[in-house]
Amino acid sequence: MIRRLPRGPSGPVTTGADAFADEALTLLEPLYATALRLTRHRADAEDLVQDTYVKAFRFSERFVPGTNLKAWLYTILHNTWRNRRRDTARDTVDVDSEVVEAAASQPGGPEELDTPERILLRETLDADLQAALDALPAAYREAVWLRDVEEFAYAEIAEMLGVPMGTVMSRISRGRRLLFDALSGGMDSATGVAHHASRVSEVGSA
Amino acid sequence: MKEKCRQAVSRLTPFLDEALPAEERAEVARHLDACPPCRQSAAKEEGGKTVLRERAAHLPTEPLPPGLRTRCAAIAERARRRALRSR
Repeated sequence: MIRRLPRGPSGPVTTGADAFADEALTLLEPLYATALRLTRHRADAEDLVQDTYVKAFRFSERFVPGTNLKAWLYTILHNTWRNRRRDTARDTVDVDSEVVEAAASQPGGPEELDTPERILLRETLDADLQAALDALPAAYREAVWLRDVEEFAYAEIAEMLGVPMGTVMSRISRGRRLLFDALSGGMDSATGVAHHASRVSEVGSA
Repeated sequence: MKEKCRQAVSRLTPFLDEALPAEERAEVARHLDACPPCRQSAAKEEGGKTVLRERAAHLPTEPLPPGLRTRCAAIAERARRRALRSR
């Protein structure tokens, strides 16, 4: 995967590096938004983004031109974040992740909901959506966001989050359903648990 | 949960994202036709997916902190100089 840029007196290194830098800097906004989503603190997010750029430029030769730079930078950012969290693991609460899993995978209640997405689209306020997202366990929120908003492929998300593809899909699935539950009336038991477990660092990786 | 349900639910995401091979897709569709609880799970997942996809663009975005762009550009510039020196 490591490919060196050609070196020569006419300066392809500079050209390649400049293009890399230019493109990397256009991705500052989505990277900062991702960092905010992960850290939930402005100063920490800013730090995380700067760290990401330092690493990205230090290892820029490892980037394969023509592949997805955004996905590559997101992977660095997520790895950096995971390493930081590992360093401060004492701060995280040991949560019963099985409760979250069970709550999220329950089939719905007895009543049939017809055209749920239409009802939701009509009735969901932006503030409700934001609150529902905030209440999701972090692992689910990130998987769902990377898939449905950023539209990355499962394999790219697996690389970013450092988990197998099956885990990515199950996090997306549960995240979407928890989001639906939260928006469709009601903070039911599932989202209650989700709220409680929002500091889980790893849920459902296997 | 029955084994068939477990299998169907584990493939709901690629099913809804139209990322399953035709044969598996048909298999999941058949199961959903026959199984109301799984159908409900699929409806929920699709609902969550649709809302997020349609609405995420409306969510307010936080502006970049002042100076962050300049600092990141400086990181890029330092890297560029290093690359030039090492040639």
